Amino acid sequence: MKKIALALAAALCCSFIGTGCTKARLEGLVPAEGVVTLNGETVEGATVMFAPKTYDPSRPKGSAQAVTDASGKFKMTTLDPGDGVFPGDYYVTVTKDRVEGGMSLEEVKRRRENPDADDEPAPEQTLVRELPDRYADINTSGLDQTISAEGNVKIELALEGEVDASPRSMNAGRPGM
Amino acid sequence: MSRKIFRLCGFTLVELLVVIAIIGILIGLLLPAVQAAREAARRMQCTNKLKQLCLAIQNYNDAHGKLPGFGFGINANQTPVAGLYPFIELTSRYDAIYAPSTNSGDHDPYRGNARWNGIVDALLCPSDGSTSSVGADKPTPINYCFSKADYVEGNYGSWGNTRSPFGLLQRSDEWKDTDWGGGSYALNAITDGTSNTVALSERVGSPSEYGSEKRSIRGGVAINSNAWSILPNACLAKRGNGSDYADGVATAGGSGENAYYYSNNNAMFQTILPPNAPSCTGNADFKQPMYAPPTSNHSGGVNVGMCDGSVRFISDTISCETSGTSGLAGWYKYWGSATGKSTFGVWGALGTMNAGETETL
Repeated sequence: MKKIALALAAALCCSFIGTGCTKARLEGLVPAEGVVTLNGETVEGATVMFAPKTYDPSRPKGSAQAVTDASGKFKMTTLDPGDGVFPGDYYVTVTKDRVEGGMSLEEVKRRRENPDADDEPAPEQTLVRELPDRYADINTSGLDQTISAEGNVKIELALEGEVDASPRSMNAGRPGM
Repeated sequence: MSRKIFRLCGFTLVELLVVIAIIGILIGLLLPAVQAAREAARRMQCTNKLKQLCLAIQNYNDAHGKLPGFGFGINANQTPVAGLYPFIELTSRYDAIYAPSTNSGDHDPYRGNARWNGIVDALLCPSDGSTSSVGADKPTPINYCFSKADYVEGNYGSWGNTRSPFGLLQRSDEWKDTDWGGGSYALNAITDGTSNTVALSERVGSPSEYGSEKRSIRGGVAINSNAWSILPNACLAKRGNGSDYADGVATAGGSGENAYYYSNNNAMFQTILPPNAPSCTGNADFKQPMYAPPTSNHSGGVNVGMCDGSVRFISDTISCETSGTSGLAGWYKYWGSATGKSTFGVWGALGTMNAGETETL
């Protein structure tokens, strides 16, 4: 009896293992993790973006991104969450934007149900930067990283400077730099 | 004695339970395979319909001397979808949509007039979202969508898109596309080669969830993130750890809500973000610039129809470049370059029709 129960348990485990495992979809990625600080304080919810200095078409994807958690830590993602980056040289930018205004879901529904209301102008939407502007541009961020074949789990992105929190229009055609 | 006979003729409860358990496990092992087979069948049907639409585009080009384009109609707000109907044996529906009428509301797919409503099976991929709650009195939903190449358009394409075979037509007061006298592109504009240029793909629909939250990346769109204000990578960062948007990201449904209405949620996609990536726009009415990658419920990629009529399966891992800068370009590369080679990798190069890239599939 015990043997049967054991066999059953083994069979169950096998079926779970068989269906439960997923393999990383990209090969050759190395970990890239770190922390973002502004004037010494950790920053939550900042978007960290890696842009490769040279584009390599033989790679599935060169660039990577991540969002910092409550303790300011981030884990770069190329394709699947936290899977890392390809070794190489990167421009690094960090942004944290807050969007204000815009249309509520109720307003969107109302306009769809009354097509004439659609001619009313859309409410102004503005973008507020919560980190200094210079870190949003690859040319001025100065945060460039070289990721070696072993990866880097101690990246320190120490931002400094004043934040320009003036609202910028998002309705205009040009990016809100 | 009698007890011994009974023992010989039957099974004990434990033996029966063991047999049932084994059968249960075997069925459990088999079920995923059955589900996969069903999805394979749906995917095949999806591919087939996509092929029909690709061929319809070829026939449209033969008949009209140009490709179908966006933006005709009295309010310059129609998609090319209805124009393809005569080429997929839906002539009667075409005639009903464009039947003469003096009521201007009949001419506008946004006004909800009856002629623009109802399910059209040929526009729906069986894998890509339920339309069972869409009634015959609701706008026609759609999963298939036209390529806008590597270019993010504003509302009604207010910036001319010269990258895609289905770039914007200029505003027209004509009602039907066939009355249109202006310049959309013909097949001969596709100088990168028709087999190297994407025409159609698919997007998971959420037509009955317009104006509601939709957390799933397939079918949902991240709002408050106007595509002209954020880099493609920043849109990718909206993804959570699973197949949903991250906590705290505002989202909206309504993808593929109205097949005939030219809006960023309907009948269009770009080759900027890779397949099954997040979508990002400003307001939930989809009238601001939007990153709209193709999405599907097929395993690991999407179906894509090329301009030569062939249909390919493009993997989520197709080589793409989403930093928007490639370490080379200025900030204009945010939303696609107006001229020159695509800065969005192989995927972007496959989107453009005339940028001179050498990338092939």
